[in-house]
Amino acid sequence: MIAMLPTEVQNLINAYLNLEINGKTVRTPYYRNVKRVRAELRSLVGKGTPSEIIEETKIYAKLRGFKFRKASEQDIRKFMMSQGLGIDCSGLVAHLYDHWLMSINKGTLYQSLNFSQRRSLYKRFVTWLRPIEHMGANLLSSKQNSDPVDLCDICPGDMIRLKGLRGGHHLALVTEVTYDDEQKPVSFRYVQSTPYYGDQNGVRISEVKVVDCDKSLRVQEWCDPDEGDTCPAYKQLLKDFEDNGSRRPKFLADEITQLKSRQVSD
Amino acid sequence: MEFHVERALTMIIAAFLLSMAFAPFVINVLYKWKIVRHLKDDFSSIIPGRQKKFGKPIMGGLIPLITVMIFVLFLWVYRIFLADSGLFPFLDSIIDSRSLLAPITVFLIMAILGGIDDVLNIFGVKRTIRTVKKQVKLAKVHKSFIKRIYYWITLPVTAYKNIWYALGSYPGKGIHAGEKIIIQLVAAGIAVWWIYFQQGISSVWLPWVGNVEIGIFMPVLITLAVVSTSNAVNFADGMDGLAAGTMLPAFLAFLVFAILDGQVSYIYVNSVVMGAMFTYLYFNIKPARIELGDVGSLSFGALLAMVALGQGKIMLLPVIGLVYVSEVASSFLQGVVRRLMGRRLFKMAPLHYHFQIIGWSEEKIVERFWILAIVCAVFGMWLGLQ
Repeated sequence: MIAMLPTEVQNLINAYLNLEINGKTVRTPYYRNVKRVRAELRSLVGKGTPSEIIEETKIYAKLRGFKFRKASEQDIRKFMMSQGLGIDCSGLVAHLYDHWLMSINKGTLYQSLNFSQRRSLYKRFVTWLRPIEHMGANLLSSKQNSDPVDLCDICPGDMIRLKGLRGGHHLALVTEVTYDDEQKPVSFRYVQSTPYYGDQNGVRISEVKVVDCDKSLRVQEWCDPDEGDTCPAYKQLLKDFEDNGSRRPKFLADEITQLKSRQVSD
Repeated sequence: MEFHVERALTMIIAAFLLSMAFAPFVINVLYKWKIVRHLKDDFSSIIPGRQKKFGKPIMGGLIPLITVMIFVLFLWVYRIFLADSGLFPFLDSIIDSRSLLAPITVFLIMAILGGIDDVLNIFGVKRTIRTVKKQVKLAKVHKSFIKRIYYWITLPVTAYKNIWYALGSYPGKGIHAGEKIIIQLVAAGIAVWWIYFQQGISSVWLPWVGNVEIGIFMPVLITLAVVSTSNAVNFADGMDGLAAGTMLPAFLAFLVFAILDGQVSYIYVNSVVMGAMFTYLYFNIKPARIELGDVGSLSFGALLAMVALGQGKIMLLPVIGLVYVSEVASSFLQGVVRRLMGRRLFKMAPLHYHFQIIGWSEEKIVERFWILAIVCAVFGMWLGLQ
């Protein structure tokens, strides 16, 4: 039996996986605002929605004279990466949660998150104006906003917190869990925006085969390797392992738990 | 009134013929001196279709500018030496030709500002902006004491430039936006002195209401009108025939007001501007032979505001010049929404680029803006009669 994310959230994931640009279908590349550019369009700092990324790609294509007609998907992705058009891990997860909350009329993610109370008035104002840009992986997976969850209880909608190999945290979102007859997970899929996989970076869905859910994520079978034999997400998991793992957002805890009861046959 | 109408038409034709006579010469000079749009360092080169404009002279505004100056100087010389001679009865009827002194002064200041900017954009050196942080560091560690003092003293200037840079104004080679604003404020100051202090005008006319006293806000209004209209026409100067084609209905509207009110000086100026602008537009429609440049857009924008102020119809300018208002508003709003909220309000600003990005042809955009300008002018004239 399979438990999946709500249809609206799945549709948004599909939109990121299949950007429709001038008759071509392109997977959103990875982009992280390493230069910490401020006061810029959110699609240019790795925090855009699919429609914003598509629109900006078309505008930049017009400005730079890029022709879609003869371009392959990879050419378009390369062009997008060269213009800084893509999404980072926390941007993807934030948009998915935000969309989920709004689809069930629970407000926005900004309204649901617990921000640090030590923020200045200016910081609060700026966060209110540009919420998604201020929802990093650390905040989303912090103790104030999420709780650790055992692998045996993992459900779609849970986060997988990993360590960024260049600092910070990396986030993935569980999209689908397959259960056996004893309601124990046998595998789960997760979506992430990853900087790895070379030219194939960006939004992708990967899988973990659960060998033994009573043991940690470290011993499970992480699929979707990069050029070598290892899955980059697994390498990130191993780094500072104690700090990583599966976490459930507090603001969607009830909804996520209910998803397990809405399983469909595989 | 028939006399005024006849004289207005005469001046339009005279200005057109005169400007047509020397326009080819001006165009040749601009080509010869290579005062043409260059591809390098021109940010607008990235817009498709803009590449075709490279190599075109960009100080085409000199044609109407020189025409206006010739006619105004002729008027002043005539009034000084041949007043009441009966040689040109129309010019004899312009009793107070000094009423044009302030508008023309503002016009010339803006023209000089725009001209210098155009020339620097072609022949100047790319300017960079030092960050405040760097300048503070230099002020602390530079080995020369005088230099350290200099860096401290000019720190506010650097901060001021950085504010404009943060707002999206890129240095390039020409005059920075912050520097332009200061000079425009000086020009606006002359307008304030002339209208508020010299003539003691502190009220504005509103349709259906009449004169409304606004007191101390008059200098603010005058400054806003001069600076914003000047920049608005500059923003609108982005496509062949756009700025000139939308200025003609605006000046026509104020010409009609001048005729109805018997303001002979302004009949003269508005007619001359229209005649000269017809010549410029003849060479500017697509594919343009020349472009207005800042020398033309800043100066005629300011002149439009001064004419509206001088004729006491300043509150009709936003209606008559709605096209310019929308261009400026689109740029302002785009910048604000982009910086504050990280999203685009328009595909691109000013507004005419938005339409270009969504697929309208340049001709369609320009002609539709012309129609809107005419309609706005008609509406403004209707309001002016209420």
